[in-house]
Amino acid sequence: MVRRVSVLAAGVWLGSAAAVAQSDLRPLLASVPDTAVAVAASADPVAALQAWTALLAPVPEGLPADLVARIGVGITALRIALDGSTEAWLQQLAGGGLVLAVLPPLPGAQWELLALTRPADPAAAAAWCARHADRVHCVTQGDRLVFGSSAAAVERVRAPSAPAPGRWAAAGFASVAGGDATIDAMADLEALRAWLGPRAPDLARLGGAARFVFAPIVHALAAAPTLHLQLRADASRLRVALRAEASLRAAPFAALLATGAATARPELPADGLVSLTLDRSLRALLAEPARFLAADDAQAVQGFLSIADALDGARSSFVADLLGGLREPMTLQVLPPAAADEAADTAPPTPIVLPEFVVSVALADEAAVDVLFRTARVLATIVNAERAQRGEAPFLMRRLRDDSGHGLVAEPPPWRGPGSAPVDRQLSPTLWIGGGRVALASTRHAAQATLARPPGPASAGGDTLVLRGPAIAAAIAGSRSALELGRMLDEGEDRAEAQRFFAALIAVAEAIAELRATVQLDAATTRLELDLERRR
Amino acid sequence: MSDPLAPFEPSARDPFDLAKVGHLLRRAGFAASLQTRRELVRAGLSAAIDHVAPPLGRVAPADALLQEAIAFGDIERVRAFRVWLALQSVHPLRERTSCFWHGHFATSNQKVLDPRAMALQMATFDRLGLGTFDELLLAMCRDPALLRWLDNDVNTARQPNENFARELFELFSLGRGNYSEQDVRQAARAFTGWHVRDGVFHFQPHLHDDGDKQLFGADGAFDGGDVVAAVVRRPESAQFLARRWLRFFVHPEPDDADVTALAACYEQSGRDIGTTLVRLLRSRLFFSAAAYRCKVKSPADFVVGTVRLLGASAAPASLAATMASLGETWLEPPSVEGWHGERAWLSPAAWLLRSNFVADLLAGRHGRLRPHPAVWFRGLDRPADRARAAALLLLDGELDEPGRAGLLAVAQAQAGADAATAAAAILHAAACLPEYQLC
Amino acid sequence: MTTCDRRSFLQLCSALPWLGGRSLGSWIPAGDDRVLLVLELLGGNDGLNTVIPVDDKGYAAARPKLQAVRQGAHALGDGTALHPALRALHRRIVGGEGAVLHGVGYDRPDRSHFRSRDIWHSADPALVRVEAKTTGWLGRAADLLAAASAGVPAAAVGGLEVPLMLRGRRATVPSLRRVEDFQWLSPTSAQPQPAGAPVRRIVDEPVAGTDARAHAAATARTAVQLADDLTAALQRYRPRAEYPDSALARDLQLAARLVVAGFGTRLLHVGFGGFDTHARQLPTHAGLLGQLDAALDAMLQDVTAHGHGDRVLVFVHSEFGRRVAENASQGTDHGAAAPVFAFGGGAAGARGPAPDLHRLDDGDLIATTDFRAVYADLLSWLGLDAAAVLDGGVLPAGLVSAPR
Repeated sequence: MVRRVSVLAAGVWLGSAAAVAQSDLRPLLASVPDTAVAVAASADPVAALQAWTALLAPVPEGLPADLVARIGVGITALRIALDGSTEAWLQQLAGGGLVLAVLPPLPGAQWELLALTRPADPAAAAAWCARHADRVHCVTQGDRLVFGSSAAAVERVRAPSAPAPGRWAAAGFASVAGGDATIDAMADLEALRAWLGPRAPDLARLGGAARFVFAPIVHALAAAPTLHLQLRADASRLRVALRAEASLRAAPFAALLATGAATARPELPADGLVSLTLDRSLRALLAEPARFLAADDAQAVQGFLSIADALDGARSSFVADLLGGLREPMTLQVLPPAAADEAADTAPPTPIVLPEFVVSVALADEAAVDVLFRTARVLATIVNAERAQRGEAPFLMRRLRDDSGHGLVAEPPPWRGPGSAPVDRQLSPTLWIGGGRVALASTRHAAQATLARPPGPASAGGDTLVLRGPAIAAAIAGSRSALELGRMLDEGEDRAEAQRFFAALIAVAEAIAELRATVQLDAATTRLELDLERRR
Repeated sequence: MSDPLAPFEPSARDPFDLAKVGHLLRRAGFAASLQTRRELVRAGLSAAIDHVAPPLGRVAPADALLQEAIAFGDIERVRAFRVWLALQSVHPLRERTSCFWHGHFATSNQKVLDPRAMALQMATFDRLGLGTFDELLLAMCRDPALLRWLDNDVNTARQPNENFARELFELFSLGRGNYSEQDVRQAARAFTGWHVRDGVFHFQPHLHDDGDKQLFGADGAFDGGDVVAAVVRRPESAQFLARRWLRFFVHPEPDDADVTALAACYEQSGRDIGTTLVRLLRSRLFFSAAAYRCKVKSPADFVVGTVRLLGASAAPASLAATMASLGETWLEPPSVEGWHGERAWLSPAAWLLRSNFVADLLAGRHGRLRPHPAVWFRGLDRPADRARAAALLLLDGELDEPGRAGLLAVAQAQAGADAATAAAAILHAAACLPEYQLC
Repeated sequence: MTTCDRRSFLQLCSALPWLGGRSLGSWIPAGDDRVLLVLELLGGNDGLNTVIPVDDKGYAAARPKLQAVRQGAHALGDGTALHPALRALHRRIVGGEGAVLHGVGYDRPDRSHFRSRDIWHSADPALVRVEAKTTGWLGRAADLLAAASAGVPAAAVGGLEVPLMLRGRRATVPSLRRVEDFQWLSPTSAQPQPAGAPVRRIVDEPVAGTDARAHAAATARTAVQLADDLTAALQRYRPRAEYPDSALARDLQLAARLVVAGFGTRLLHVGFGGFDTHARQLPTHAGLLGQLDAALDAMLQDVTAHGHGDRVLVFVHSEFGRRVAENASQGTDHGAAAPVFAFGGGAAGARGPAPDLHRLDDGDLIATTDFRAVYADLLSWLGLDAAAVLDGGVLPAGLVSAPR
């Protein structure tokens, strides 16, 4: 019973592996007790391990030496514990397949873990079990081995003589996959929720922002009967696909989803750090805060609107006219800092180099443009008034136009003071309009560059998060000493420790070419995919 | 009459011991670990003085990370940075003296609203606080934060503002009664046009009153620099500063004779602050019994000192917040008079917060505490040894019989506990002794 | 235009009968254990829609849309009525346990949130740049109390920062999020030091003398006694009212626990934000006042049921009222004078002259009572020297005072 994975391009690789070795695992799955709440299976665990090893090795360059040494010691210790190489050990014990199951605790006991394997070398496996009998609970059942976190756990395995296979054999693992290193897992969400009781995931208990951001995932965890997970790794990629049979689209909160989901979204340029598009409607949220938020949060939103709605006087409504004139979703991108201005070369180098931030969104109604400009002007006036109260020079407002569009730029006053310029001098907050899109950015450069780029292809919708490790590493490196001081002051680390922390962070970031996470909803299904690409 | 500033000569009867080293490090710095204290006992008085006041060229400048600290323009970060400098104490006397000058030229960001300017003022104390008073006072008269704080940036020939000139005389250099209202008005004219632009001192000639002024009985077209030059030469200024230093470094109620002696020493040194203070620190007066633990620890002494006595590390931001809750918010003194200090620090509520700070610190609630308390008690299993170890760590081993018995009782009650728990309980108890509130 | 010059201020000081009618009665002990809680409505509460001049034609004319709150408003009997959401507080005022004072403000009102708040906090309408903003009126009052009181004379409840109002020169004013901060903690457990803890020997040692060490030892003994009293009182405390589930109610309950526990804390500040209602004011304002009504009523019930009703006074104010005319966004913009409230011990009496809706200053109500006169009343109720606290504030505007 192979469930075809369609819709997703990523589904192809999952589907292609299907059915290869399912029959091999079925007897193992058949023995998993019905009470298990989560089960993972791999037809070829050795290949899976090899793929993991290939992905992780070599350890990213630039990691602090002592950390690398500690990893080395760990691996060596593991080898000693396993009497040899990890791969040989796994081949011996589970070369013919592996099924892991999590069992909820019996009254008064602990959670338990069960592993059912088909050893490649039954005699050697039996010998290993016998050698470690004082530490490992293990029994042989025909051509299989059963490991448990306790003797009681081992006893909970369904007897091979049971009249019918258990529910996990029929559970419909999408592709109880074989030779190409896939791990397949399922969790019984219903059972988990019953066990968690009031601590089970529930949208109603999430605070304001979290509710908005995580609504699709939390809803899926709260409503779906099961969660499917597939994991595949090779030397350059790790892919994780999660699927749950429930969708926010079919829930009351569906109104929070953006209406313009299929609109083309801006691509993250090659040197970009982060791109985030949430398929959500701010307009819907702010139009009816009491419907979507807890009472305290809804009150806070009302307070915000009391001011936001007044910025443009009676001429427009913040929600209906300003947000209503946009075709959500919005996309947030983080771009690398612009090259330093040559004019500033007399000042000492600034210890903090801010990346640029830009939020962009398609325009639904040209009438919103005037509202946006008026609102931005009022905001700028307020900010300048507050700066004046602190004796700071105002930002200079300028209307500008170029090939990418036109907009309003608040240019920072020049810095003639002592030392390096304050961080706010790196900002030139900009509202820019062009090509049917609006950009609100921390700098003019980011706004213009974003709208000058052709938009990407029409989108399949959904939430997308893209992180580019090397660009993030470069941004961290640019402000490194200031970040280090932050850790010294906030965490009490000494200089060397703070340096090591960021060295490790930069090394790890540099090793990840790209991490892409997407959440897709159709009428009845929620899919989350993570795709991590190792930089070689 | 013997000279109170004559050098202290250790003898068999009055040796340079752990108590003396602890006293020096508490008053001329923010205390130090037991290991450092023991090393300095062995090294002797001169080496110990050299430890608290090394030649400035030999240690790292205090502003190595200044740009990083001010980059965000965040006052909390600047405050944590100052606490970090005190925790590091690469030049104990400099860190300590900058604290003194912060309380002396007490400027608050509450009004200045410019964390950069505040950080730069503190950096000026670091740089000039042990130099000549002439140079320091002139720098302060051109300090953007101070000029803004005392409204000299609106002091113009047309509308003179006397706030700055008045505090310059009353609180910074001469003291009440040592100048006339006429002097204040005339000095205010001299400082007209001493303004601030883009965060730096900026002289505006067209707003400056360059007419004739009468100051301390002299006539001339004085400007601010002339006022400073006249003020520092006045004998009342030496007396005023000497009394302030004695209060801060030696005794809350100094003898007039000691004030006169220190004032003379200061004038002989060419008004050099560092020379004067080092002379004071190695004097008989400084090491006299009357000076020992006669001052109430300020929140900074208590908080930063506790961490340093334990040889531990903790998060400066969290320590700064604790100091604020105890009434000492650096960069936000309550008024231009600075903190009142001494017994005013120690209300019963403050005592509780101090005691609870030590409990929190030992429980690791101010960032990771390293090394772990258990380390200090390694190998010590007998309650008496543990009580003695705690007394050495926090009190240089100097405590009276009831205190000793109390600590022993706590240690005995912890006999069954593991080393970490026992260490925390006994150290906390030691910090609850009355001696521990004293500097 | 000027109604609050120095002379009339002083007159108001002495003649104002809105407070203290009952406090002069015999059953309340001399003011040395009274507690003042200042509940500050942040953002500028719309006074005209809180205490509504229902019978004034000018009101309806200025507020064609916002006058809808007249429906269901609770009459006060002097031509004004409380916002419909203030049901419980209305009952208290009518029953003599609360008071409204109309038209409180200051001359030449400042319409900036920050500056006007600083003026109310420092009690200095002459607040010009020469005045260093470092102390507030309650902070200066705390300085007076600090000498006499062993505990924490003043505290900011709920917030992270101690507001200017509570900053003094000497008194240490903490910001309280948990009363547990003032129990005596142990480094080895999450519980306060138990009665028999050996560490108590350390502080129980008898002391003599007047030197610094004796001072420290005596302070320690007092502190531990204080903490023990607090711990015992906290253990005894059971809420005697049902608090609603809101941030304001949690803050007020914390204040109530402190009052009931008795910690020498006599000046408290609680902030409650969101009153900057520039647009679509009706639902927002009703929601805020509803929260205020429920939370404050519960708190007053609680302290009264614990027998502390007469020694607690809650003073409610905002940095300014809002303009008389509504704006085109169905909201109101920053204005000037507004009513203030007092609830609990000693709150009773006259309401003061209501501001004239037909004689405005640039579209704003003209204050009929200077806020410092109200402060003076509150300080007298506390048994403190109002003149000492408000000294800087009563000087005529324009006189330069040194920042100290």
